[in-house]
Amino acid sequence: MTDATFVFQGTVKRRRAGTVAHLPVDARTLVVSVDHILEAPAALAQLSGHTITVRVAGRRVPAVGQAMIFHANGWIFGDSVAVQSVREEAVRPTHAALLSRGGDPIEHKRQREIGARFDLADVVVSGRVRAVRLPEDAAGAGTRGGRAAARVAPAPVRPTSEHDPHWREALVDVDEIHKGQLPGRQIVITFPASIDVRWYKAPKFQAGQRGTFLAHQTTIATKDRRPRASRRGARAARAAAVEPEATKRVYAALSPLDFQPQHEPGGLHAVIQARRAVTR
Amino acid sequence: MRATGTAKRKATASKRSTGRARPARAPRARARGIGAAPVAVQVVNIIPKSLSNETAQDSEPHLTVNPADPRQIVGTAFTPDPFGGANAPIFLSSDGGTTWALNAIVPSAPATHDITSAFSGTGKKLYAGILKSPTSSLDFLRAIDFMAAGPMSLLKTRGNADQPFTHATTVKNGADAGKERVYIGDNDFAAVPQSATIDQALNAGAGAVTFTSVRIEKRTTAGQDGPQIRPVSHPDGTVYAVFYRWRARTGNFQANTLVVTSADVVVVRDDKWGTGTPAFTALKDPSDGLAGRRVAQGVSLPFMIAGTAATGQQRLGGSVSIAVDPNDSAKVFVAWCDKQPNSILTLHVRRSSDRGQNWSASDLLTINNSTNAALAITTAGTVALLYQQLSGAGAAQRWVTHLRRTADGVNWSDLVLATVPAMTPPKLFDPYIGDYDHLVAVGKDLYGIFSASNVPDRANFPNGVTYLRNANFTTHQLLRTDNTTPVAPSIDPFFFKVTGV
Repeated sequence: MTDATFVFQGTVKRRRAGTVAHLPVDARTLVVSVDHILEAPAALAQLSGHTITVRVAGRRVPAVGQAMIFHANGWIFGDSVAVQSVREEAVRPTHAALLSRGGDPIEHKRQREIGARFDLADVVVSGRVRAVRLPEDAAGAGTRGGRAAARVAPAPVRPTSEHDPHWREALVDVDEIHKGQLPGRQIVITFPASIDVRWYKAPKFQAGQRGTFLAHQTTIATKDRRPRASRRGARAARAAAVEPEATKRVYAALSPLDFQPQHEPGGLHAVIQARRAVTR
Repeated sequence: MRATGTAKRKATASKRSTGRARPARAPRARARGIGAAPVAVQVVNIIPKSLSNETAQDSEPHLTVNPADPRQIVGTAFTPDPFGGANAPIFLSSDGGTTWALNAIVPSAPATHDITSAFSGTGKKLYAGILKSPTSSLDFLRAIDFMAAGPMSLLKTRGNADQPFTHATTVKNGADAGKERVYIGDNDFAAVPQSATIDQALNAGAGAVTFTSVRIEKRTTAGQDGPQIRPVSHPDGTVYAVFYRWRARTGNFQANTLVVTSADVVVVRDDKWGTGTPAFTALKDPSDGLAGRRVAQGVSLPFMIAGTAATGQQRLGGSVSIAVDPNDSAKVFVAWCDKQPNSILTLHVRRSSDRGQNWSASDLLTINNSTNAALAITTAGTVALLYQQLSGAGAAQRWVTHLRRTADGVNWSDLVLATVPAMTPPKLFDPYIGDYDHLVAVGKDLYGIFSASNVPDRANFPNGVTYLRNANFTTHQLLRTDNTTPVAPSIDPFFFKVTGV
């Protein structure tokens, strides 16, 4: 498989043609019937039996009637669908296992994405969320250091944005480590509590949750930047040059694929088993 | 490059849609104009037929119309790439807004965190300002042909900014004729406490594009300005922008209690395409001599982290808009929202006839419970205002999208484009319908876009509507691509056009 999001077996019906209004058509543009979907996002899973437009990657354009496996990414959604193939293969006997594996093409794609996310993770554990808390540096003047700082300088005012993450920390008691190393049996996983468009898909951990956690080393902004006093004229321009934001490295869970509840079958559990089988 | 068999396919599609579902397309409505003359109104749900299964929250829409060919239109929203690939989509139309398709060309996967775009009027060139997913970097982009495949090219990127708002044009006369100008308003947190910024490229069509960050806030602030910084230009080289200067605030953003207790609505102007010395300082306020005329002072507004039932699920954080008369750059209109008693947000409209120096002493229009103000002025001198108003109470609340028009600033017509349930569907994220919508005037025509609940009910669209996606207006159900299986309601972008005003 490739990084393509839509993999299917199709038969070329017409060359230099398309099925979508607004579509630029050239010699590499084909009308193809979708015969058998191998991997697909949900929006494309019902295309089996339909004709769509495919723009092939290579110079060699398949002939009308030729059956191919297309590895494609999106292009245009209109009254019909057009995709851009990143690789085409003529159907051969060696494809028999792939073409006969059955199952849900959406699940095949999702499983591949979970595997890729697992491979990206620095630490993978199973365990239970003991508590959820505010990061210490977000608590600001509430901490001992924060109170000391408050005596010598005005409290910093963090610029407010709709896209602020509102970081929280999940303290996870670890039952099993599936990938990576930890100094103890706990891990702190940072996650955004915000439901802004930027963050709403990230896991929102709660105390008591059990499952498998993918933790990724991530740099996040911590201390609030102290705004400088406003000045006029040329001094204002200098004020625009600001101090770099303080940052820290944390283990973070930012993708919906970074957590799977304990009792949910498949998904991460299948990936972990598959990776174990490989290492044995 | 050519389109293939469009007319034939349209006929076929029309025939197909007469099957189980009632035909989705309504005849173009005739509504009453300002002088009681009827005007043609077209409202289109722009989710294409092949995307009938989708249930995404396609909120915060924006629109641009190619002034060189108004049949070419691009819309944007928080729409994810249906393919789950590396590029977010734009909505495009090449027939004046009747049919739409998605073209996944915005390098941001699978959607954007903010996006606005603008045609410059040179060929099919499209510019965009986005907050890129997943990093939220502020990226400025360009496509030579908005209809072509392949990602838009990156012109500039930096971090730590919010709400890019893109405006573009092409110089028509003088030594710079043919040069493309791009102005992107953004709230640049790298410049706090004077964060209101215009990033401008004065030769955006060049091979190597230079963007310059112009800090348009010249006064002290309460740590930052508001996120809404809206630029607009006139063909004579006048460029205006409006923004909120935050002066004082109280409450806690995370606790959803933040209130900007004092803010000014500030208009800045540059008379030479942004090359004034210093840029955007042509308009001084008489009370303090500083650049930036304060149209309103000491207004208050909530700045919410999340919408609530009381606000129709929509987070509120203010709204501003500015429009300049294409026939006279001295005539400029401003709209803003603030908090007034018994109103979630109140919209105000005022006018200047002397390049922003003096403003009408009182509102030309005051509208309670409204947000997402967008102004535009046609070549016929008609001033138009798009906004979304929360009406009713409790479960009966509705988001009502209005288009008001006036020829004299006194008498305003009111065209209701949509009136939809405010609590259906439940929100997936904030913002529910978006922190903005948009309105554009090209010649005597108005083009706009708003997001709203997509429940297919003719009563929700009193001036008619066309759905490209499968829908049954008898059972009030959306249908999957099989035209049979029901689909849950969601938020969709709606395009509209009002011609000859």
